[in-house]
Amino acid sequence: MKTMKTMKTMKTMKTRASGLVVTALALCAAPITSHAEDGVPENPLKEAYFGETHLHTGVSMDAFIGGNRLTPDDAYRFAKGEEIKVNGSMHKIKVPLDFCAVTDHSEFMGEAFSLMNEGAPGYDDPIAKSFRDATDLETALMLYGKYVLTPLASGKDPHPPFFQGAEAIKSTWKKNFEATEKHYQPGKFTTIHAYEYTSAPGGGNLHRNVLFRDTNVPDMPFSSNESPDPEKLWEWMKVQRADGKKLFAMPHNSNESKGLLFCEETLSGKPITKEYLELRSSNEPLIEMMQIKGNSEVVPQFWPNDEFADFENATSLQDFNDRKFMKKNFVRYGLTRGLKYRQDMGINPFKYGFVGGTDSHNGAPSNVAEDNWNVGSHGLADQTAAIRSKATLDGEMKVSDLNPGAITGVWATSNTRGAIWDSMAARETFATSGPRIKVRAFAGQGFAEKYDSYEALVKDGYEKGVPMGSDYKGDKAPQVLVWAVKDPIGPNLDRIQIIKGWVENGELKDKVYNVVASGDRLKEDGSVEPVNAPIDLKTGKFNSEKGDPELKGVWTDPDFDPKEEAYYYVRVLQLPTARWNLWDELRNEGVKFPEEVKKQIVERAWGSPIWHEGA
Amino acid sequence: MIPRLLKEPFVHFVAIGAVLFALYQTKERLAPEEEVEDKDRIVIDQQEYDHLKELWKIQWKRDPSPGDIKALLDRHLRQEVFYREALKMNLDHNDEIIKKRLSQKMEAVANDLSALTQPPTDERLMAFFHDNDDFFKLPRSYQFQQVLFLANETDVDARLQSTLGTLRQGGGIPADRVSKAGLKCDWPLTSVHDLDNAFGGDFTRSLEEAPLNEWSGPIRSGFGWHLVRITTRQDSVLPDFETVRDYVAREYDYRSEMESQDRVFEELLGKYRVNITAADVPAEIKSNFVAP
Repeated sequence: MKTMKTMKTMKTMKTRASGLVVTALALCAAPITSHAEDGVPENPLKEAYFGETHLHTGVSMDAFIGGNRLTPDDAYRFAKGEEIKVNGSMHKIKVPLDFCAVTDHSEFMGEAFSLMNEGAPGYDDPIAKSFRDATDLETALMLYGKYVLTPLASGKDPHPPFFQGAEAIKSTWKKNFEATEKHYQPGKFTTIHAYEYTSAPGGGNLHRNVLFRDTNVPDMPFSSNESPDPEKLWEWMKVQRADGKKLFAMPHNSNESKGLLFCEETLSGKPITKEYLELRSSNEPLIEMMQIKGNSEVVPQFWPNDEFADFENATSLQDFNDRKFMKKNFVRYGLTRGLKYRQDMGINPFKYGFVGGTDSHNGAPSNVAEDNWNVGSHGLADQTAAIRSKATLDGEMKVSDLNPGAITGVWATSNTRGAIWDSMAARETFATSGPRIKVRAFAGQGFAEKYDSYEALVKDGYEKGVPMGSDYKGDKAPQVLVWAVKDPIGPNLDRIQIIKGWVENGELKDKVYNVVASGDRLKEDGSVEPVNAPIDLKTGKFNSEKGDPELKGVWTDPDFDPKEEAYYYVRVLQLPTARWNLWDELRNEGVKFPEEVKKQIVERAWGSPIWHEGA
Repeated sequence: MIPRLLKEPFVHFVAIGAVLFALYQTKERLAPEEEVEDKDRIVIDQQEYDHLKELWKIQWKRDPSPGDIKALLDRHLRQEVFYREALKMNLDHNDEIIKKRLSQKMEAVANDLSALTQPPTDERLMAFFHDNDDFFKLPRSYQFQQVLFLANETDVDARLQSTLGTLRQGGGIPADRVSKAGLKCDWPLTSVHDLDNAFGGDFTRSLEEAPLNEWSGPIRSGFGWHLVRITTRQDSVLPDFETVRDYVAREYDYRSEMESQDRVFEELLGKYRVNITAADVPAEIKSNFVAP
């Protein structure tokens, strides 16, 4: 019996190490809102909290086969600034996060349980074993293709043979839940229960991250194995909501959506109905603007007049999977198309505020600093500088086209789950391409021309206007009060722009306005003298003289028509900084990226839109 | 021909079968009450039985019927008996699959070894805490007030000096300087790490030289220039163990696991005399494994 005993001890040890304190915590017995939230002080003017809203650990099977053995527990530790072994080397983020949501794929969560937990049913299955034992990417991908992708594409049961059924999914979901509970420190560090729904019919990305407000979560997440049609996800969410649960979904990578995200008909080919619009808009307040696999705002080919459209476009996505760029794959198009749905049918299904994420499959949340991306994002595929300079990512895109990902900013009254989730649901959010730039905007009437005091500006913003993510209801041309401040450890700001979208005689229109610029560079005609502050290519250092640390101003729409549908969102540009590949070259002798890979970039923040709904 | 034949699995199968049959024939079956050696005892206690039943239920999604219970016990006992007899015959030796599986298990043991042999007791955690006091020390912290002047303000020097004068005479922070650029004026005791992230530049380094309890400056940050009044300067201190116990325990677990992976291998390797006689292994690689 000696052997048996040892095995049991080992099993207990494993549970202890990963589940630690909270293994006894039953899902349904937990209090819904932590009492600890009660004592956290609130700031009615709100603070900007930064966090991750899109992250995979070893629980996501594609991350697992890429070599990731980190757990949600490790990911939260990393988010708090602790050093952990990421993708083969010890690593930490430069600036700890305020909040974090781990969004493992709900598909194959059961498989993950069998793969990762010794003693679990299915653990010893030869196929499960071969997954675990795969040490090189090629083998791992072959297995993934054979046992997951091929069955998925053929519409057959996508579960590999070692799948143990729903109970295994529940076990994994519960383990993620426990780690998320364990790391929540109201007022200091917020964790959010979440997962990713991963549907990509015909290679068109319709993925959604689903975030829960509190501990009232279902015992099993809805996955694309149940249905690849997001309508079914929304219906499931509606049922959850009727059951008292609070949740929303956020699509991402519209750039990979093959026209399916901002659609003209339902996925099943039926005409869009009012019910569809209602269902969709009630479930999706936010969209991920940017992540490792590209910025989805705009691309130059469809927005030639936007001089800053050429930014982390991940153009090599088009070389694979027939994912040719189309105008209707980009967020600005979606926002404007949504206005037209509102005009034609009364509801805007694409009324999206902005978040940013990484989609890192390394279990390393918001590892977004360009000068701290030594460990890559997708396991073996982009692990070292030498690999990154040459490789492609799983037949999806060139690694040199990846970026470290984006981050979400939330204006909330306190750093608690409730406050952060509520502000996200209300879209009072912004996304940045990585830097901790803060931006806020209000639309209203009667703002002062100039505010010396920040607090007076914010108070007036709320008193005389509405914040980002809301509807401006006036019938006079809106004044938009904008404010932005630099990342304390980054360069100064170049300018603030407002992007207006509207529908004119049935046509979708949008225009970029320069609203505030550092120095005296904003001209009468609305153009801006370029800031001309290149980085030092030999050291990677940015210009620390030019630009302004804080920008603010009031802009009034010169072409307002109260009958028209419109939105206004803010874009803040910072001075140029070195792109990650330049740091790779500077730090690793012999590493050379192709000439066409940009060495410097203009990082930015996007504030969620404010809408004006037409008559 | 003969060596090749001996490698055939089917021959193995037949040979093993013959041996087993012989063993079975010669060995008397033991009466239940008869004394047996411990190594020949198979006990299915409540815990074992529940475990077997649980595995069955996960697979079949229902409670096992009496027939199922008979089948699962039969399967379990068959496996156990053949497994033990196989061990007695050393059939596990030099089997590639078993070798790999066992070495993997041993590695898993190594991962958990420190937890098994050195569970994080209070004493151990405390010792670990003190051995790593540099790591657990709370960084230097400051409680202070600050007034910000953005780098690009006009007449910034004159404004700084005039405000500094006002503050030194006991005046309050001017209204338009409160939360300038969204940066609060009153900072509770905050670590230099957090201050570095909040202010950038050389702000925290400059705080070291600023006097206590009086307005001074300007000092530079990533935003511009600051007047500061430090009310508390707390040097780097080792926190009270109880307040950081969980954190210490987490770090202890993590480091133990990381270290034990290598340490156990090194230690075990030390028990063996490795002799690499192959000629074409480079010397510098050999030296990694071969004791001098």
